[in-house]
Amino acid sequence: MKVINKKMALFISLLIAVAVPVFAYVYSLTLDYTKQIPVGVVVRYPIPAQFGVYWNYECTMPVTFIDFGEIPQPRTWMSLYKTIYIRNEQPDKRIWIYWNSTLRDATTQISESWISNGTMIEPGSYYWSSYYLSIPTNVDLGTYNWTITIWAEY
Amino acid sequence: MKISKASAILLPTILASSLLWAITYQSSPNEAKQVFVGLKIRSGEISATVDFKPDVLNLRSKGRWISVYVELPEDFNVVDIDVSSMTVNDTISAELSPTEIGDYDNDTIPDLMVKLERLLVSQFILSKGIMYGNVTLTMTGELYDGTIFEGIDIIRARMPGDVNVDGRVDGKDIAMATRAFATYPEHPRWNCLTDENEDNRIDGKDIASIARNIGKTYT
Repeated sequence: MKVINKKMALFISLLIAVAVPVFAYVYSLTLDYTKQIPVGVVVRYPIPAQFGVYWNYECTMPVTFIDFGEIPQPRTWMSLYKTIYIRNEQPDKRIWIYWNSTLRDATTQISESWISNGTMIEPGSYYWSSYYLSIPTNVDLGTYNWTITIWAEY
Repeated sequence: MKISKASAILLPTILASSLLWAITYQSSPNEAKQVFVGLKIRSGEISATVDFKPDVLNLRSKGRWISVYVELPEDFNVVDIDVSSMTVNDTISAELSPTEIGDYDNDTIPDLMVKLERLLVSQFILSKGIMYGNVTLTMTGELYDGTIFEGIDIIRARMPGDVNVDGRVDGKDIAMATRAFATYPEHPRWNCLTDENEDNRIDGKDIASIARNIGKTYT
């Protein structure tokens, strides 16, 4: 009887010795070491917005053609600009203004700068900014025409 | 497959509405605005027509001014000339006043008249070692928009008494003045070279001036 008890004790000890690591290993596999961080993304579908482009802050003179006229080839770097007003005409909505230009198709010698793309305008208000041209001294003589496309979203 | 009556009406209606919305949306005038931009770059230098008066400059004359008439090419306006930028041979500045816009040569092209200090012009010519003969004077200046203009005129310089501009005062000069005696501009025998005192009359004063310098030689 004593022999059986001894054997049994040994078996149980061995069983425990094997079972504990196995259990620990299997349990560890079930554990999740990552943390979940909730992330919220608002997807805003851009919808074309109503806006106006004007010469004056009263927004009565729409801009269709920006005529920089005729200038002599500059002897030093020259900058020209025209100030333009953009009015949010979308009722009760903020709008975001974007623009691009075909100037680079007309010439790569002249550079332009204007409002940052994504400029926001509050409902009922306007944003004014000067459209600048930078003209180098060696600019080719000639007539340059290009188009600015402006759009707004809300 | 059977299609119900309601579906048969509803589906085409939805499709047509969607199409109509898409067309309207795409062609909406508020979607984008196009602004056209134009710029012309022209040459920064132009040629002007300049006329210095008098055409013959007595380098010892006591007159105060020399007049310069400037005409610009078509499409340019003398009103746009910045008088303070005008210089002769990069040395002598035009006087800021008096100035006048007119058409002194009656060619229907407006001209700007500016004045130069005669003494400065005479000194400039003499400083080049010229006492008689042709002198090229170059007038340069700027328009307010930065355009540079340049024009050239040739005048004759001479010393007192040397009315035929040969560097010597002798009987030929006296003879020349005598032939033009008692004349004035527009007179058929008028010779501006003999008008020593530049009073637009050839008279005893001019003959006397030549006589005073008889025998002088200029080199």
